[in-house]
Amino acid sequence: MSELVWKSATDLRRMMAAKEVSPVEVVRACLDRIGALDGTLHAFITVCADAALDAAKAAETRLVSGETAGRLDGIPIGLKDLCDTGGVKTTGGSKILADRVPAADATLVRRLKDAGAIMIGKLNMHEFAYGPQGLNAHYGTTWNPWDAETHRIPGGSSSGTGAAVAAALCAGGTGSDTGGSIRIPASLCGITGLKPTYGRVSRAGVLPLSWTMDHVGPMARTAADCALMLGAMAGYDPADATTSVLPVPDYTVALTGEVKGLRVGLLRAGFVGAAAPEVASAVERAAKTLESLGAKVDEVALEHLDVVPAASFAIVAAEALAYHSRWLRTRADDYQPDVRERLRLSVLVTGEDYVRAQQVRAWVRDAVDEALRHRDVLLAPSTPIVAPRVDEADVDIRGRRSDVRSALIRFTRPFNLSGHPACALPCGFTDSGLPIGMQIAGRPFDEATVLRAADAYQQATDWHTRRPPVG
Amino acid sequence: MAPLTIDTLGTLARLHGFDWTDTELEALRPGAEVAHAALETLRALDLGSADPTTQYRMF
Repeated sequence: MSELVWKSATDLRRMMAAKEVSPVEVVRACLDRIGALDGTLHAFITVCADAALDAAKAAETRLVSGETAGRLDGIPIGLKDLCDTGGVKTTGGSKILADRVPAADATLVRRLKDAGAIMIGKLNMHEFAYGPQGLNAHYGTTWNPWDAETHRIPGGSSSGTGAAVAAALCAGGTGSDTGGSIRIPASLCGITGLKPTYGRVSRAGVLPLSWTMDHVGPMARTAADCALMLGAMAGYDPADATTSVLPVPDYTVALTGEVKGLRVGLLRAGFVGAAAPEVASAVERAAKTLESLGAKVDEVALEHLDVVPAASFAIVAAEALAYHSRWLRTRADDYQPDVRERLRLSVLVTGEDYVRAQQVRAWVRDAVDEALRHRDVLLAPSTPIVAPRVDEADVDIRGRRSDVRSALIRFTRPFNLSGHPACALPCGFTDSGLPIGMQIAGRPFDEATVLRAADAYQQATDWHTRRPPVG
Repeated sequence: MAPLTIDTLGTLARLHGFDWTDTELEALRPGAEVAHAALETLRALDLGSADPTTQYRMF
């Protein structure tokens, strides 16, 4: 297998600019690896080999003539299969939309292509993004690449992106995050994933789960690559009224490797203290690492965490039912069982519940703002557990049983309610070799500081450089 | 908190235009009891006059 597939997008761009490598070589290497491994991993729903090679040849021609389409020129990426791609199937990981071919690209897809990114295929996901495990009865549940022997979940809903990036089938990819669906697979697969501020990246052309909770963002092996991708994806879009008109900075400029004086709030109550011991220890060590780099770490608590699950459920359930009711009436049997059941539970939510949940949401937003009043970022585990086996319904956390689904979304959901940006990245491994993830959350539209902290941590550690045993 | 019966679940489903069998409703009940309990906590909160973020332009 070519070593090229393990290069970061940032390194590939440098190598391509120096004419040390051709986009065609890189794309071929990724396609070869997909051919060799994806029969087991099930990370892709659709592979666009011919189109990717054509795009790579065009990038090579530009390179030879000294031109460039943009900062992602020649970089192979995968797209979660809920991002519309003109002329290419976009299924949402479902049977219901199995033959759906959009006429046009989603705004973020168009922007990534305009920056020169090469779309190598469409990535598997939990059906309709409605689950944090990454289960898929229609296209096969993606394998977590960190265990070649036992089928462990990759986390979801952006399961295919997590596994494909971790196993070096592509340099980066897109995810969407309604309750943690970027950060959970990033955590369980040992990669980096950024949920931007609500309104930073357009959702136009992205299949919805919950309009007010959905965030779209980049997933890659490094924070630097997430910065590169976010710069291409972000910005105002008249097709999505919730996007901000705030200018998009060059996020790569923020990556100074410096965190001296950065004020970091460590979330122990409800986060570190509620995580499995190996996870908690890894995050505590990460806080010490940041401190050793000059950051000022103190402990902080978030108010209103106890009502986050109820408010999240009411909002997501009501909005998901609004989108799915037509098919739930006519094609209920075409949903996989866990998604059908979750959609059916929506009938419990009243209009009053929905509005009360939105009131709680204002509380949670204010609570996160308050925690950040005298701090630049917050630090917490991404998930309380590492990747469970696909057949595990419950897990033990500090002597208490919890269902896997509730456990996975426990630490990520507060930042979906609040809308603040949060980046998940690897911060250790268990004795059994499974990755542990932490998240760094920041102020609204201050992705630059979040990415700076994540990048500085990665410059000082090597967790993100480890390779899974598959392939 | 009043228990969630199959009849209640069936009534709620019909109000939304769904006609599910007793078997389907029974399968839904464990999850529905958890969700119902969560919603009861939401209903019990004193939220005062906090503005809901229904017009979602928080920043």
